[in-house]
Amino acid sequence: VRLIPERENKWPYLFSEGYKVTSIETWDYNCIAFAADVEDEWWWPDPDGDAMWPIGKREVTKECFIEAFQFVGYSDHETCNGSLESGIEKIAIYLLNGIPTHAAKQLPDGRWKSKLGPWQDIEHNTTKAVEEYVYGKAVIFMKRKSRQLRIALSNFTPLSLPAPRDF
Amino acid sequence: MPILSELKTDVELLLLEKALEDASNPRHIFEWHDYIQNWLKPTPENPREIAKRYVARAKGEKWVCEIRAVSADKTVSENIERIIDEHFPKLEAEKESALQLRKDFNELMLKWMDQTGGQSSLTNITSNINYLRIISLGKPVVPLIIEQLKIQPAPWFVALRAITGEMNVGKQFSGNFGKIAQAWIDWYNDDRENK
Repeated sequence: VRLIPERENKWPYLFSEGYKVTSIETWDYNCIAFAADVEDEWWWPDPDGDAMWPIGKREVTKECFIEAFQFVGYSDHETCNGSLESGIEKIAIYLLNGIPTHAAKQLPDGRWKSKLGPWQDIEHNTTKAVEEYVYGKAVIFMKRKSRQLRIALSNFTPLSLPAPRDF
Repeated sequence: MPILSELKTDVELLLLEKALEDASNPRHIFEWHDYIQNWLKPTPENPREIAKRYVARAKGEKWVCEIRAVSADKTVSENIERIIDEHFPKLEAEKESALQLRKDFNELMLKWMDQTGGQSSLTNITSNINYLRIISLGKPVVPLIIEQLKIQPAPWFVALRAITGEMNVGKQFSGNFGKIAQAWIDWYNDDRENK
């Protein structure tokens, strides 16, 4: 399923990179919330507080977005890239002129998912697919252990080691 | 008011109610509300009249200046038109102005949605020039915005705060546009009842 041409044409690489529509359009949530696995809130650091924001600081800066995603468990923004790593979830933050505009989340098969503002969710093959228009480029990548791995680790009880012996 | 008595039959009342029910363009609600209130002034011993009065009041939500276009019954339409001409001589001019306002609002809204569609940034969405021009239209656009909120909970909230000065409506529902929209719809309904 494709977007209507008026929408698809806003992203010059969308069709050539490959994508499909995966939801109806809704104002219930946006790309930032979607990347954080939230589908019933609109996330944005607007000063008026109409939107939800997970941290107290509300600034449309890359530092503030990094802190917000750190709050939900992502890290390594300085070294992470968009490659697929087993057991790892990744998000990409898009910047236009240094200002955050969009976020996408990597799927377990290496493709990405995005919510296009109030429009539909899509799955796209590359981060480039939704570059340009008003999103700019995918500049910041962050990662966390995948949900399955986090659950497994939370249930893991280390074997007790013998007490150190006195010599 | 001779024309009033012409309309004051059960059948015509029902047709009038039907016409009002079908209407979709709320305008001159207060004028029509007062008018019908006087018209259907109840007598305490006549519960049927009281019931009709409340029906008319409930339908007030949907009253319009375009009744003539939506009423299926031509006689009722013509009678209403005569009443409009006789009792509301300014209505024609007001209607023109209201239609122009609606046209301007719709044009700006479509441009706003086209230019900001696909964006998550509330900052961009609510600072778009078309959104700001809608704010500049002032209080008359509030009913039109409320109509839109009933269709979809787009972030009209900055505009509503700027126009009405009401700063706390829906504040407790941060992130949930559906609930914030409903809070504004409730505020609008309460505000009209209190006037």
